Amino acid sequence: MTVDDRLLHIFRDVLDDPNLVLTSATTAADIEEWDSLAHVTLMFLIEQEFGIQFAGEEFARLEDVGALQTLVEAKAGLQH
Amino acid sequence: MTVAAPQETDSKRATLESALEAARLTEIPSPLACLGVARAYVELDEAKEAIKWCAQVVKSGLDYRSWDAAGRILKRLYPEFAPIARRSARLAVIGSYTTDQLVDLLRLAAAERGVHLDIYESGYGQYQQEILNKESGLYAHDPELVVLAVHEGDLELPDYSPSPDETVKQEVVRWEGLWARITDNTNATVIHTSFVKRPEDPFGHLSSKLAGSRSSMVAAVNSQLGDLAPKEVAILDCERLAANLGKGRWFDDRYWHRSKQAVAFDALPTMARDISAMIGAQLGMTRKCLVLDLDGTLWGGIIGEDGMDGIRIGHGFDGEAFAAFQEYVLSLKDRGVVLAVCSKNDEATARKPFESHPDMRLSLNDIATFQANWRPKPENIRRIAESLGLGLDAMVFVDDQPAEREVVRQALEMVDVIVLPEDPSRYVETLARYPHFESASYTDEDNRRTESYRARNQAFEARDKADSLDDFLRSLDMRATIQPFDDFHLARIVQLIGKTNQFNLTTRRHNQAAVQEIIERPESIHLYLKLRDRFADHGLVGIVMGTNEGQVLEIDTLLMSCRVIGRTVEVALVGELAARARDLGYKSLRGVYRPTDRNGLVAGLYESLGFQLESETAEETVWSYELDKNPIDSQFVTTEVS
Repeated sequence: MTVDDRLLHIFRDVLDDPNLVLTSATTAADIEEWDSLAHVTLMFLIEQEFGIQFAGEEFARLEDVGALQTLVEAKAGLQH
Repeated sequence: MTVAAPQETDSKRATLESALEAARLTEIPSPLACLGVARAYVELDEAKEAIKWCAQVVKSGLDYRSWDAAGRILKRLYPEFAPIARRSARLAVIGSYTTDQLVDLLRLAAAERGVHLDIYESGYGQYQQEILNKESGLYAHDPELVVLAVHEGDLELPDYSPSPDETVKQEVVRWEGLWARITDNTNATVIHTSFVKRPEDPFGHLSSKLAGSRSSMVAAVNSQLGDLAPKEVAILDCERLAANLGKGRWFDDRYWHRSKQAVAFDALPTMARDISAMIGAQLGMTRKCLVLDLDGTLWGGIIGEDGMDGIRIGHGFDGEAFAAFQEYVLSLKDRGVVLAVCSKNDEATARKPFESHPDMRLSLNDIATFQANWRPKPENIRRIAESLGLGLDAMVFVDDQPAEREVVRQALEMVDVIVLPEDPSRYVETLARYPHFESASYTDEDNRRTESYRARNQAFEARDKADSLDDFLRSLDMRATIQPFDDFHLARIVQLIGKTNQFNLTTRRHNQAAVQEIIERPESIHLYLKLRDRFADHGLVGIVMGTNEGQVLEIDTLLMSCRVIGRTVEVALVGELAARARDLGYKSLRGVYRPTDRNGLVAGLYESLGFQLESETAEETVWSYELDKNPIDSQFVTTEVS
C-alpha cells in the first residue's frame, strides 16, 4: 500500500520535516517527533482534511501508518 | 558544517524561485505559498528570511494547519529571531487547560509584530499552584506579561444557585485574589482570558431569565471581573472571539476529553492573534493613525469625474454601506485613533464632499491631516507621519485599490495595509477585524487626540510659513501647567510610561504599582505637565520622576508625548524639576540617557539643557547638572505651577 499523499503532507507539516518518508509499517516509535502532543494535532488535521471524526479508541495510537490509512479510507468512504 | 555541492545549491535556489513565484500569484500570499518559501529558505540556511515568511502566514488568514506548521518552523529557528526582533518580552502562560499549541501560535503571532517572547509555560492545569507558590517557576521567570489562560469549566459554579449574588461574588473574589497575588509578586501585566458561556444550558432559553443559571452567572462573573480589573490586568474578551467564530467551532469537547484542549484548535489562531495585539498594546506598539483613501473607500464613484451629485454616499445602491463605513471610522476616531486622508485627487476637489456633501459622516474636523495630490502614496504617508510626529510603525493604510496597496506595502514595510473586499458592505467587518488598534487603556485624552494632532498639523503648516523656529514657537502661545502626580491623572501617567518610545530618556516601563512606590519614597519629585496652545488643549503630555540619591536627584524617568516633540516644552518641565530639587536642598541633578532603536531623538537632550557628561558606555550616558548654576528657563512656554 502506498501512503496517501494528503496523509503524508499532514505528517510532514506536523512533524516539521518536509522530506519525511512514511511507509505503511511506520509507527510512532520510529519517529522521535511523533509524541503524544503531535499525535493530537495529527488526528485533528486528518479529521479536517478527510471530513471524518475519530471515535473512542480510534483516536488512540494506531499500530502503524497502514492501519491509520485503512481506517481513514473506511471512514471517508474512499475506495482503493 | 559541510559545504553543499554547487549543483545542490542551484537546485535549492530554483526551488526558492518557484516558491516565490507562487507567493506572487495573489495579492496576499496564500498560507501554503508562505510555507513553501519559508521551507526553501530553511534549506538554504537563510533563517531570517525563513522567519519572515513564517510570520507572513499570520497575515494570510486564520487557518490552523498553516499556523501550526509555521509555528513549528519558527520554534526551531527561534534563537535566530532574537537579534532581529523589534522588541522582546518575558512572558508566562499559565492555564487551566493544555496550552502547548496556544504557546506555539502565540510565538508566531508575536513574531509577525516583531516581538520576541521569552516564554515560561506551566504544566496543564497548574495555574493556581503557580500563582500561590512564591517559589514557583512563574515567579522565577520574572515575567513582564502573564497570560492567564483559563476556561469556563474551571469556574466553581453550580448549574443552578438559589443565591446567585453570593455564588458569583465568591467566584469573583477568588479570581481577584489570584490576580492580586500575581501583581504583588511581579511587575507583570496579566492578560486574563474571559470565560465563554457554554452553548448549552439545562434550562435552555429560560436560563436568561434566571440569575441563578450557570449561563447567567458566567456572564455576571465576566462582567464583574471587567469592572473590577485593576490597571495591571487586561482582559481578552473570549466571549466575543467565540461569537465571531461560532461556538460550535470554539468548543470541541472531543478534544477536551482526550487531551484537555478547552479551546478548539480551530479557534487558537484568532485567540493567539488577539493576545499578541494585547501584548503589543502593553509594549506601547498600538497603531495610532488610520490613513484613508477616498474614491471607492469612503464613497462610491470618483469625485473628480462623477462630481458631488455623482458620488454614492448615504444612498445609491452601495451608498449606505459607505455611510456605515464612515460611521465606524468615526467611532474609531472617537476612541483615539487619529485619522488622515491620502488621496490621488486635486486638493480642492477632494475636500469638497467633506465641506458640503449632506450625507458625509466624516467632516474635515475629524481628519488630522489631509494629503490630496498626485504624488505617490508612500511619499504622502511619510509626510502624514512626519506632520503628526508619528513613526511609520504607528500607521495603518486602507485603500480599495490593490495597486495602491501593493505600492505602499513595497515601499513602507512598517505600515500595516488593510485589504478591503470588493463589496463595501463588508468594509466595516474587515476594518473591525484588524486587531492592532488595541490599546491598553482609555482616558479622556484619547477622546481628544485628533483635536490635538490636528492642531499639531496646523502648527506644522504654520512652521512652514513662520520666518524662524523661534517666531513659530513664540506664535504658539504655549501655556504649561506643572504639578505633582495625583490620583486623578495616574491612569494617563502610567499609560504614557507604557507607550512612549521616541521622547523617552530611559524607557523604563513602570506599571502603576512601581509609580506609586516612587511617589511614596521620601524626597522623590514627580511632576506631570499639561499643555495648551492657541490651537488646542493637548492634555497631559510630559512626565518627570526623580529619586533621592543623597545630595543628587536622579532622574529616573523623563518623557514627552510625541504630540509635542520639537516645542521645547521639556525645558519647562526640567526647569521646574530643578527649581524644586534646589528648594529641597539637592546639590545636583543626574540624568541618564539609555539608547533604544527609537529614542535617538533625545540622545543630545541633556547636553542641550546644559548638563555635563559624567560617563559614557554603550548602554547609557550619564549627565549631571549643578543646581547652583543658572536656572533652566523656557523662552517659549509660560508655566503655571501649583
